[in-house]
Amino acid sequence: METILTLLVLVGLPLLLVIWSYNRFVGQATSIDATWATIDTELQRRHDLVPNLVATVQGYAAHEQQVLAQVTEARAAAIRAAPEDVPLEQQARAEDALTSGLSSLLAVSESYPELKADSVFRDLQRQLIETEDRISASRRLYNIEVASYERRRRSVPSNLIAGAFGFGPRTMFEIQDAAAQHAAQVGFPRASGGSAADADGAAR
Amino acid sequence: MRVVAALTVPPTPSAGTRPVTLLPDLAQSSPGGVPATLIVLVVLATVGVVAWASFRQRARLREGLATLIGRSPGWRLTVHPCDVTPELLAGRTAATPRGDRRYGVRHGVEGPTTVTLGGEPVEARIAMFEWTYEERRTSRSNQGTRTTTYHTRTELVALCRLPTVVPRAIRIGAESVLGRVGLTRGGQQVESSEFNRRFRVEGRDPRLTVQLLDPTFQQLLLDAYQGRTIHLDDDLVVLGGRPDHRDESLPGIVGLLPAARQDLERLVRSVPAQFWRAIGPSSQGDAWRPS
Repeated sequence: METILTLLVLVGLPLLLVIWSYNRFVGQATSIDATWATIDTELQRRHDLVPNLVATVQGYAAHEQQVLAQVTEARAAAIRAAPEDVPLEQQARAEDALTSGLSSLLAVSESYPELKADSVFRDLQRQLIETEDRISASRRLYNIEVASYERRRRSVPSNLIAGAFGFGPRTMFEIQDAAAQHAAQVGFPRASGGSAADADGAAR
Repeated sequence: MRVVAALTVPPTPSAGTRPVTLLPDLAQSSPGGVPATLIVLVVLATVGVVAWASFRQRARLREGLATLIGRSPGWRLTVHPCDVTPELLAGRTAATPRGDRRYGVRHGVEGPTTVTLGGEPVEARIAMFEWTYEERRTSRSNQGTRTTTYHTRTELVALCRLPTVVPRAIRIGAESVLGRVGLTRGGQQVESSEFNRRFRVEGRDPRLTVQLLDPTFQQLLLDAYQGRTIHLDDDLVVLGGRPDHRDESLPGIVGLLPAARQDLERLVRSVPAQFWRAIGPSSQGDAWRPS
């Protein structure tokens, strides 16, 4: 009886730990893939917005050809870098180039009041900002997941499980945070008068 | 000196040599030798002093509340902060536990304010109050008798009704002791390990939660909101916990209310613009309104 118990402890317990650790790796890898899928969807959405945005700007600022061509080329490069066999670092740099191009394009719009007033442009700009917000949040979630996965993959004893079952390294996705570059544009009805500081009377 | 000596009469033949007291019950001595009359007088005096002090304290708090609401137009006393009834609040946020018996709002004030959402001033309503609730404690004596007592607990709460609706509730509170050492860490993790060690964040939409917790907001919480609870749900932001500063010109708990308001306004002001953009302006929420 004692022998059986000893065997159970010596074999069963490590086996349970292996199963638990393996399942946790599977869960983390699945979560990373799911988060990446959301980034991919949002990047695709951003790519889809660019032609309409360029066309709208072109209608008001046709002689800003250099910026328009830069954005168009950056979009084409970003789409070329999207397939899964392209290294993540290369895709990140292509997306950075597109972010820079779009920032220039939006900066150009500041010089054209009619363009800024155009409802189609404003709608596209809003969609772009919201898309970049989502890219930013999804990218952070993805990197948090990858960091947690990599920490386990390199720690003892879970590195043994990762090595034995082929849980390979995952790369962080580091790109420019386009969301942080935008003006607030939250769209709430503004207070009729005074500031928060003025209304702070009760907290003297 | 024993007071009982003054209440004795000369001994009679039938009484023998024992002194007889006129007020035998009152004049009985306690085991320690102190007469019961003295004890009764002391107790009555103590009760009187306590009642007077309590009355004075309540009067000072009332005066303090009147001073506070007199400072800002449109402010008033309330027991339904921003139209939220205590019944709806009870147990719904970490700052407003239901407790085991009575609960409610006291020393509540509310009024209009201007909060900054994503850099834009926006009109909102804000309320500060003390949430009280009673906790049951049961003890067992050596004879096996169970005694149940109720203890009143309080939390300081600031609450703001926003002109938008947070679609999925987010709760931020202190991480547990086991979580701090990394054993039971749960909830939404962020990039900062220090933040993860200090705070536990529960949110049903991870992307929205991450949009709220940008690095600047994380740092603000670490610097100024440790030990506080934050709850964003529907159109309400609820901040629980005591501020580390107070208005010295106001008495007692009332002196903390302006500080709670400042802390809540600073918190709302610091929420990243992308969080508000993700939510967008919307019609009034209804989750906190009585059905």
